[in-house]
Amino acid sequence: MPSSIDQQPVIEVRQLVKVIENPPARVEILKGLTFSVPRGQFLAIMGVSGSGKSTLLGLLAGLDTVTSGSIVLDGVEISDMKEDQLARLRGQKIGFVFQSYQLVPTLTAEENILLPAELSGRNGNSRQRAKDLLQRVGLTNRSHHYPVQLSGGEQQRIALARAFITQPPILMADEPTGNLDTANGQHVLDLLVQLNREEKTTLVLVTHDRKLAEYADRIITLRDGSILSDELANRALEVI
Amino acid sequence: MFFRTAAKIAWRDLHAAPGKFLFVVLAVAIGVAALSGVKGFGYAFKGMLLKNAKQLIAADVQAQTWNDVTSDQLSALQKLAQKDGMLTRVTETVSMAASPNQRVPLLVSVKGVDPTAYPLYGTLTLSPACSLSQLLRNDSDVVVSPELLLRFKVPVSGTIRLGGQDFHIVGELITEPDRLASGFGPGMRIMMTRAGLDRTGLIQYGSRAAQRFLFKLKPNIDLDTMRAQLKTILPRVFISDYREGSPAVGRAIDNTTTFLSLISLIALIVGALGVAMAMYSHLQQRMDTIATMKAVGARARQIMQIYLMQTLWLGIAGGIIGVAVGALVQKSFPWLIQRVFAFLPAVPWDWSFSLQGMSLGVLATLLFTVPPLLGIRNVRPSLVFRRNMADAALEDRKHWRDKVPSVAGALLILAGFSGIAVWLSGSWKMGGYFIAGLTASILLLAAVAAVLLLVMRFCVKTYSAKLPPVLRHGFANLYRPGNQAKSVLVALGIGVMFTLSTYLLQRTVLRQVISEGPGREGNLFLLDIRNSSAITNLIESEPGVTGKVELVGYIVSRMLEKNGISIDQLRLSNIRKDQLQTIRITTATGLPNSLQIQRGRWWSPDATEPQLAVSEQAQRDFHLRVGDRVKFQVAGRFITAPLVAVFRREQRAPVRYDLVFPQYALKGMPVVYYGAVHVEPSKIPQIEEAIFDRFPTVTVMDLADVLHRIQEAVDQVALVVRFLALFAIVAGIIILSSSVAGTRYRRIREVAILKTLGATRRRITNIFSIEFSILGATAGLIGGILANLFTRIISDRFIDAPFDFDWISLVIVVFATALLANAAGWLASARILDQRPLEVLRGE
Repeated sequence: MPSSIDQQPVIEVRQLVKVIENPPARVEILKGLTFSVPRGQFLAIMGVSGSGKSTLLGLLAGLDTVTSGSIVLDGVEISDMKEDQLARLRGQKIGFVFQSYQLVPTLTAEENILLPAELSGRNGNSRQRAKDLLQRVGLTNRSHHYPVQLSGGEQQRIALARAFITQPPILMADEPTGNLDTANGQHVLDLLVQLNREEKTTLVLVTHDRKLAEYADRIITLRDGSILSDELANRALEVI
Repeated sequence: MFFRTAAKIAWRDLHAAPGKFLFVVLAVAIGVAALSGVKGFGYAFKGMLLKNAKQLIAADVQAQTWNDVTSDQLSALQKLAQKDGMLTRVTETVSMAASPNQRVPLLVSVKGVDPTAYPLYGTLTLSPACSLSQLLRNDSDVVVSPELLLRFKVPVSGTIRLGGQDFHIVGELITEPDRLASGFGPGMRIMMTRAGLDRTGLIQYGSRAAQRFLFKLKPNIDLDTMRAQLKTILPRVFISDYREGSPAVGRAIDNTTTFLSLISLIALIVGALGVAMAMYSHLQQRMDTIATMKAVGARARQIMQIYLMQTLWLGIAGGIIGVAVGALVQKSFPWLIQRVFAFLPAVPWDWSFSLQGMSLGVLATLLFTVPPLLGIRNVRPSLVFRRNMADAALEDRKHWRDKVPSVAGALLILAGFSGIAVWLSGSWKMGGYFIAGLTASILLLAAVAAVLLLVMRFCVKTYSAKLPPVLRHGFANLYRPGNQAKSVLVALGIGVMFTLSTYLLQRTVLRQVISEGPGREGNLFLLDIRNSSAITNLIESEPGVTGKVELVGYIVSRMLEKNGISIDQLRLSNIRKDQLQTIRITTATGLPNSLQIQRGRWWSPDATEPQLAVSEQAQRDFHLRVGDRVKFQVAGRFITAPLVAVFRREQRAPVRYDLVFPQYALKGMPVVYYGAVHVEPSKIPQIEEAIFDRFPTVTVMDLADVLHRIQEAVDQVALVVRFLALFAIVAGIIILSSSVAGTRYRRIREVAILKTLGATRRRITNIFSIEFSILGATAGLIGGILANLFTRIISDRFIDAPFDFDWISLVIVVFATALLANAAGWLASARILDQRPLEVLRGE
């Protein structure tokens, strides 16, 4: 376990249940998950398609509401929070990287990076930080380009920079290399790990890619909405 | 701080797809153009009509009395005039006059005026052409009507003897605007100064003369307040204002005002509906951006700020274009009608109407964008994990607590539009009816849409094996998640309802306005006829008679009771009760050609028992029903008659039937005939002469000029109503098309998938055509029924005109809306069919 990991949990999940009701159908997607993530840990959540990993990530980030159970993020119980409180919390504590980049098409690369800072009203030195991040992801010369003018790999690097602009304690990534070719995927992954280390964030990564999971400190594997295994990276990969 | 970023995103979004927003701008522009143009022009037009109406009494308001006026009353009237406007006094009486060539005296009507002030509105046509004050230089000068010169066999410059005094004829009085304003209108006219009239000695204490005090009011003086003040000064006088000068023009003004208000409201609602549909579709396409922004920390309020700003800009842009188009409509309309009418209304540019239209347009746009904007709250940020976000709808969550803002939003829209409706129509009642109608229609359409989708689902589920695949797919398309069938059906249905209502209302208003007009069948009126057949034969043998002489017998009576209840105790307005004190009964044997029975049945031609048939107008005015027993006092006798029939008068009938008795039931009573005939204006003097020779007691009125003026006003109203209705209908059709076209975005991906799976263009066309046709036909049916109901209510409550359910228009509108939905749908979607599937699927 890397030394930067603080034993104080930054994410605590207890008896987490998510059910989707679509009468007469009732689908239990997550079935009472309990785990915690220490500060600074790089956690990979793995599992086959439909196992509930994206749903879990969505719940951890407050993007969706829980059916029962509780989630505590950085000491704050989020399962009862209202939409706007959750949005504010996300702006302060969580950075996001999505599989399909999700950049706002009408904003330039730099403006996309600045967006979370502007939304949370923390504009202080964000412009300078955006420039730094652009440099760190190697896209300084693309700062005034619109998403449509960027390649997939470049868009994802902008998304990475956006995720770090507010220096969130937690970074969540959903298949961040899923839409990229091998070379671009590797580049993005290296940047993700590097930025995570430099910024000392807790990283939760959802993937079904074994190679990607190899970078993690810990791997939780889901199957049919339950935790199949929760192991340190090397042992977990052996199980999978 | 977020404001700048929000503005940036909103602006870039607009900039990215200007074509898409062009429609929103156009929808607002149409609404605003209709509001500012129609309202502005309508106002100017109404002003013109009012001016015309004022000419008919030559004043704004007049007090008329047959009694002597005390000096105190006179000075009070003068004081009132100094304060509130201008006063002139007119005295009219009848007397016998003679000339050197006509020694047997004949009855003439004499009018004493102040030549420097009279008439306060309108003009006199004199020969030689000059002003009255130029002709009546002293108290012995008179101007006379052409028929007087004819009957008295005197030329202009001759003399006429009146009240023992000789008067010098200085000119011909060809027309006078207020000819019908007093009871002395008919007959040969002598007009002189008031001092001249005093010289005749005709006006003495107790003499039968009408004193008319004509007032021209300052613009800020309220007519009803003025009437009340006059009533205080002269308690026993008859007060009337220009609104009563001519019932035809008065009704035309009222009905046109009602219609204009409705058209403005309809245009606004239909325009706003178009905006709502467009914004809904736009937000649907922005679902990914909304979800992403939420995921990175944006609050719903911040996102709403972006789209609210966008809506506001679009509203303002539409408003500016609308005001410009409205100004063009205002300016071009007089030009459009100048070939038809020489008399054009002056349409001054009025910023208040433009500003009003613009504010209302922006307000309506914002109000109708509330539901899709509120939908932003419900976009779950977890959508970012989904591949096809466009399928997610801007729908409400299921928990009732989450629905509170939506319900509040709906109430806000309702309250906002109620306010607009009341403001525009200037009537709480009409505003209330309008909003109640709109709400009920939306609810009904939403319910029908829900039932339709259930039926479609049931059909597909139950008859899955039997239904052809294309039909099954078309049906299933309507209820699949993400389909906007419900909202399209509501929007389309409301659009159809209002567009068809505009047409039906226009027809009703026109029918009413035209039927109230004098028509062109009679311009020479004949009164006090005892021998109806002899005069008919004489007139019809004269050259220049272009129509048949239609005479009707009448007798003045009092209506005393209905079903044994005294009229005083009935729930009728005082005006109606007064009317019943001297009501004219006409007689007929068979059913006159100009009448159509609506309820009950007509009597046999030889019926002698008292029976009563009434017009629909009289039925409504006096709350009568077939079977009622009505008691009259006629020529000293009491007659009780059952009401056996209600009839509708044909448009433009020269004689007016309201209460009709069988001819033989009034046998022996002093029935007098009156009627009209249309004569070429140039031949009128000849025919008058022939009638004077054979029937000296018959009064002949040449009303060609006055009737022409009234008819002209009525025709102008009709033309304006037609033009505005056409404008609103075209606007409605454009916006209707857009509600279907707005579903284009959803189809892009669907077409790509179907093509990928091997569907031919024809198959895809058939599937969507089924969907468009079902939506169009259902919306047409429900919208058509609602339009008929709406028009019925408006006709009944505001226009006071009969309206029958129009089945033909309903059938036409069902097919037309289905066709329109197909045309609009395919015009918007045709390009999708040509797109390569991979292009679309990779674009995701």
